[in-house]
Amino acid sequence: MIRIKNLVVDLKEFILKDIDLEIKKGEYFVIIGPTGAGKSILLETIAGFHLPIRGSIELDGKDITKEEPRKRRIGIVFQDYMLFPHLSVKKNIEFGLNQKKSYRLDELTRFLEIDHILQRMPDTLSGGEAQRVALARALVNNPKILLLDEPLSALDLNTRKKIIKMLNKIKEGRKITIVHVTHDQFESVLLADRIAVIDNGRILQVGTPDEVFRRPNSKFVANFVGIENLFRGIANIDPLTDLSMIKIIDKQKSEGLLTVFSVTKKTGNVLISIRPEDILISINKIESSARNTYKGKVVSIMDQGTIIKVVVDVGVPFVVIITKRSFEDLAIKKDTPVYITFKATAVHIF
Amino acid sequence: MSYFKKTTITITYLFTFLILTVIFGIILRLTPEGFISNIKSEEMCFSLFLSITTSIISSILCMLISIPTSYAIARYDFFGNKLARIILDLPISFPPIVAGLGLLIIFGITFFGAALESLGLKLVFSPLGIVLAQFFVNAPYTTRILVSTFSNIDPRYELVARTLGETELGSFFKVTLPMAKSGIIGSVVITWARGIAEFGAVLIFAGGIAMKTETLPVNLFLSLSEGNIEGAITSAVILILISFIALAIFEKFGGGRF
Repeated sequence: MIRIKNLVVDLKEFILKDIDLEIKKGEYFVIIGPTGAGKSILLETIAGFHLPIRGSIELDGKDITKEEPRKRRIGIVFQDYMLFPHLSVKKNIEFGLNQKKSYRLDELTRFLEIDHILQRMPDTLSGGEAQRVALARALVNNPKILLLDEPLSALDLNTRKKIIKMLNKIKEGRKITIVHVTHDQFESVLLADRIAVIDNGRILQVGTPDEVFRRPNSKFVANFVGIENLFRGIANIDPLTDLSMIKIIDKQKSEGLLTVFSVTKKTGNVLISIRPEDILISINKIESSARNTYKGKVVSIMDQGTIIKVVVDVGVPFVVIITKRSFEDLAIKKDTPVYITFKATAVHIF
Repeated sequence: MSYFKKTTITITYLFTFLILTVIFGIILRLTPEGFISNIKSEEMCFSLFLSITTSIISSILCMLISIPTSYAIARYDFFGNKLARIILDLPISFPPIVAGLGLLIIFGITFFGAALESLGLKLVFSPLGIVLAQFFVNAPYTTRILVSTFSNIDPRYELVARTLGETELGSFFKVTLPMAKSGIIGSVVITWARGIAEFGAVLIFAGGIAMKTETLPVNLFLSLSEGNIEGAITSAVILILISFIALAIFEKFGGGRF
């Protein structure tokens, strides 16, 4: 467990103020915040790179506030990899290795699918390869904590998905605490057990993704993490359509409030979200190929300049974004009965 | 081709031609017989040897002092960092002859100089003085190059090394220094070439005494003042050759970045 108490770090150009955090053993903890919020500085302070002017950091009950980085049993991975350019991939990975543990190398490089590039130099690697090498280097010593500083931000979508899968496996397969810093809310939903939202050097909210995204405690958190139309549900595969069929539930009631179809195949407990701009709103039922159509009524209308945010209650509230022009054409008001429609491809499952 | 483009290219040609004219003006003056007889002379051999040894020693000293200094300036936010940077840059901008005079005053007529001399360290008008003069003029320059080299290496490389079990010293030697390789080789070559070429400070502080503190540039100067044109040209050609060698090494390893 990592316990951070009243931590203050002053780097002149930036200050972290009174950070209090408890990260449980084996937890995947995501720190999310905008650029310049202080997330990297917090991570580097946990690694031992900045000395706090106040407060303490404990690891498994031991005060490591002033401990040298090499004694902290921490692995760190950066967005820009930080592979030593003068050493081969193999030498990079073996950098922190003491001889006895060399058996781990094969297992690790095979798992990360880098066993075929061990002799290459870092500047010949693709972004995804470099990031997996950096992961291997950080993991080879069996650290207690893995610190990830925006590890996916420099990668393309497919590579990102692949590495997310690997990170999920690392989380399941090892007794390791992972602290992951990002500005991307989807990454946090896909990976986090718990999330801390940070801005301007302060922690604003800590909780499970569900709690933070659905019940933001401040306007900043709401605006920053703002995933609209995030619902909890139970997914099954529909044998007729071969689509995922998700029953939306909430904490109070266990029966399905609504059934939604998605092309992403997944079963069990899931979180789903539909982007407000992917939802059509209409007065009459539309005949189309879209799988999801529900009847409800308008509960609120928010004019946001060029776009209008409409909340439609179809058993659960859906946020829909339409243009001012469509809004005027539809001539809807509060309590107008409407239909909302969206495709099975628009339903994201986490 | 536009006038602007034409003009800039023409100036470049003229400038290059001027440099070549000067170099060939020296080399073409040289007769093979004159070169051989001069290079065989005892005085020339002495000054060549003296120049090479003093410049190597002063280069080593420069690196020993400049590497830690430039690292501290590039990495740490300590009290006086900016001021130290400015003061260390000062000798770059003032003439070496002034540096020579300063050294002469400190080591020649103060208690400090006298104390050193009583310990057997005679610096003024001695070969040791040549080393000190070269060091004093060149070390700030070396430091400046290395500050930019170290500033360009992301400190997070060291952080990674330190989380992987290295001490600060270990991460410096295993990561930072190898990554600074081309900058360091470049600065060694420049420091060495400048050390060999140093004249003003050496002349004032070490005295330019024939067969004692006579480096190659001093040999050139003394030959010229004795009317030995061929001797002067021989020294000049050797100095040009050394510059070429330095430039070649520099281009190969330094990547021409400074």
